[in-house]
Amino acid sequence: MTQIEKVLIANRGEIAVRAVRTANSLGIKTVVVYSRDDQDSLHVRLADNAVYLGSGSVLETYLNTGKLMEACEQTGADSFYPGYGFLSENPDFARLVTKEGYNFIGPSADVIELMGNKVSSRKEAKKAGIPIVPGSEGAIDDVSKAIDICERIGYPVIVKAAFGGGGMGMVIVNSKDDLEQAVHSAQEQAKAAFGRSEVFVEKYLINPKHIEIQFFGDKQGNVVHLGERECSIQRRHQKLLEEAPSPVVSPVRRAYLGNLVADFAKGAGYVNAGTAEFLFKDGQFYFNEVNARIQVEMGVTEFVTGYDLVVEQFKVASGEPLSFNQKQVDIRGHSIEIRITAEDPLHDFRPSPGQVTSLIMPGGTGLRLDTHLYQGYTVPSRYDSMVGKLIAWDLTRSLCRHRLLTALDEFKISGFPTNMRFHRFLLEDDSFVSGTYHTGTIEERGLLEKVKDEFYAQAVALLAYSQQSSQSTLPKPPSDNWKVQGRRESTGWSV
Amino acid sequence: MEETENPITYEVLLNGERLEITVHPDGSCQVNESVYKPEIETNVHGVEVKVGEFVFKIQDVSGRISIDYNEVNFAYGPVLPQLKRSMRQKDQRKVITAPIPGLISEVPIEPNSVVEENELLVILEAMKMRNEIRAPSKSMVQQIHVRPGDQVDLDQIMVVLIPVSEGE
Repeated sequence: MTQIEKVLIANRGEIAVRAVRTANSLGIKTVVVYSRDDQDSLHVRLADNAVYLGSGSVLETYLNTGKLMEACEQTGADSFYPGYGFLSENPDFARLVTKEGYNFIGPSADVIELMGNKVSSRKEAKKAGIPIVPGSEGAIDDVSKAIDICERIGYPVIVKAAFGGGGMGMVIVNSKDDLEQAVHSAQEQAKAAFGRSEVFVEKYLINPKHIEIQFFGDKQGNVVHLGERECSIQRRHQKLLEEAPSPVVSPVRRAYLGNLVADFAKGAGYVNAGTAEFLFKDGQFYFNEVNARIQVEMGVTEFVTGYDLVVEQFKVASGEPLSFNQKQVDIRGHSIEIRITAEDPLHDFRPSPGQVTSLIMPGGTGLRLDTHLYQGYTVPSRYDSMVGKLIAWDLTRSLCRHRLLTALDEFKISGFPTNMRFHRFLLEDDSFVSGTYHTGTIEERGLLEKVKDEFYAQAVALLAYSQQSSQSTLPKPPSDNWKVQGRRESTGWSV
Repeated sequence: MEETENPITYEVLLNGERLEITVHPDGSCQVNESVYKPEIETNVHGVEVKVGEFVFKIQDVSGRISIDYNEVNFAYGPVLPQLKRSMRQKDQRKVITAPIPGLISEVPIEPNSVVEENELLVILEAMKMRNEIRAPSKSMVQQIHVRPGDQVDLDQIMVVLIPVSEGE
C-alpha cells in the first residue's frame, strides 16, 4: 500500500474541480497548478495549495513537466492526478513521475505507451479476439503498399496519426488518386501536432455510431468492465452528448463485448481507468482505440453504476483493490450528459469565450452539474471551450431525456453564447428520441439550421412586441454605430 | 404587427447579432429567406408571441427585456433605402476583424494581391480550434495587420480588402 496524503492535480477547469472534490472527500490534501489566464479559476480557490505556472502557451504551463515536478517537490505532494487531456496519456511523463518516486494516478507508462500507439493497441486487440476496422494494421512507410491495402478494403478510407487524437492528423480519402497526397498531409499534421509522423490507414465507415466500454483494473490483477457509453453526437471529432446505456446495445451484447475488453486489458496488465472505443455500423462493432485515462463523460457511468470513478482511481493507485467485482456491477436506469461549451451554434460552433454576467444553475433529484463557472468568471480563450457538463439520471431513457430538458430550460448562462440552444433541439430531435442517431446526425438533421430559425423567430417576436408596446421602455440603439439621431429626425421613429 | 402600406426594413440588434427584418403590409416578417408571421397575445402571465411553431414569453422590466426568461440585448431601427445605398458607396473597403480573441497561426496572403471569393485569409486559433477566416468576395488585399504568432483581441482589424467586381 502506498498511502496518498497529498495530490498534485495537473489540470484545470471542471476536471480539476472534480478531482479536488473527490480528494477532499477522501481526506487527501490537494495542490493545484494554474496559469496566468487561470488565476481566477475555481480550482485555485477550492484547493489547499495552488502553484503558479506563469504565463504563456500550454507548453510553458500545464505541459511543462519541469515546473510540475518542481511544484510537487515544493509542496510535498506525493502523487500526480493527470485528469484528461494535457499530460494524461504521455508515457514519458508517467515514467518520469514514477522514477522520481511519486505515485502516478493512472495506468503505468508501459501500458499508456502500448495503448497510446493506435497501431500496437489494434494489434493487441485483434490478438484478444476484438473485432477491428480493416486497414493497414501498421504504420505506412510505403505509399504503394497503402494503395494495395486500400484496393482490398475499398474506398473511402481514412489516414490517421498513430500517435494522437481529437481529430488532428486525420484525412479522409475517396479515391486512389488522392491517397499519396493525403498520406503526406496526415504525416505533416501528425508531426506538427504530436511530434511523431507515423500514420496508418483503415476503412472509413460512413456515419457510424460511437460506442465505448469503460473498464477498470487494480494492482491485484482484477479488471472489471462498467458497461458502455454511446458518444455518437460529435462535431469536429469532439463529443457533445453521451449516454449510458446505449439505446442499441442489449445486455447480452454488453456482457459479451465488455468481457472481451476486460480480458484484453487484463492481458495487458492494465491498472486504473480506461476506455475502449468502438465504431458501430450495421450491427457490427469495430475496435477503434483505447483511451488510457479517465474520460470527460465518466459521469453517465457513475450515475448508472453508482460508483465514483475518481475515488476508484485514487484507491487503485494506492494499492487497494476495486470496490466492486464484475458480478456487483449493475446497470441501473439511464443517464445522459451534455457538454456545455462556450461556442456559438449560430455561427457553426464558433468559440465564444467571455465573462459570466449572470448564472442560474439547475438542480434536483437525478441531476448533476460539473462546472468551474461562477458569476463574474471570465472564460479564457486559450483553453478548451467546455465550461460544464450537465448530467441527468432517471429510471428510463425517456424520463431521463425529459429531466435533462427541464434542467436545460432552468440553466441560464449570460455573458456569452453557449451551445445550450443546440442541445435542446438535439434532445427533441426524432433521431435522438428513437436512438438511431449517429456521428453524422448534426448535419443530416439540420440541427444548426433549426437553431438559426429559432433565433430569427425570436428577433421577429421582439420586433413585433416592441412595435406594439405603446409605452415601450426598450433601450435605445447605440447611436455611434446606428446614426439613430439622423434617422429619428427624418422618420419620426422612436424607441 | 402594425399595418403598413409598404414593406419597411428594420435593422435589428439581438445579443450582438445584426439582422435585417423586412415587415410586409400583411404583418409577415422576412429574415433572409425565411418568412415569419408573429401573433402577440397578452395574458395574465405577460406577453406571449407566437411565431410559427415557436411561442416566446417576453418580459419587459424597466427596460430589461427577457425572452423565455433569458435577458437579451435588443435594439432596432428602420433602414432607409437611400441612406443604405449612400453608406455603401462611401466606403467600399471591407474590414476583416477577429470574430474571437485568439492566436494568428497562418496568414497565407500578400499585400496588393487579389483573392478569390472564399479564399483563405487568416487562420486564427482559439480554444484548440483552427478557425479559417475567408474572403467574403473577390477582392484586392489592401492592408494586412497581423502576422503569425500575433495574439488578437475580439474585433481587432486583421485584413482590409477592396472588393473587385467581376466586370472590372
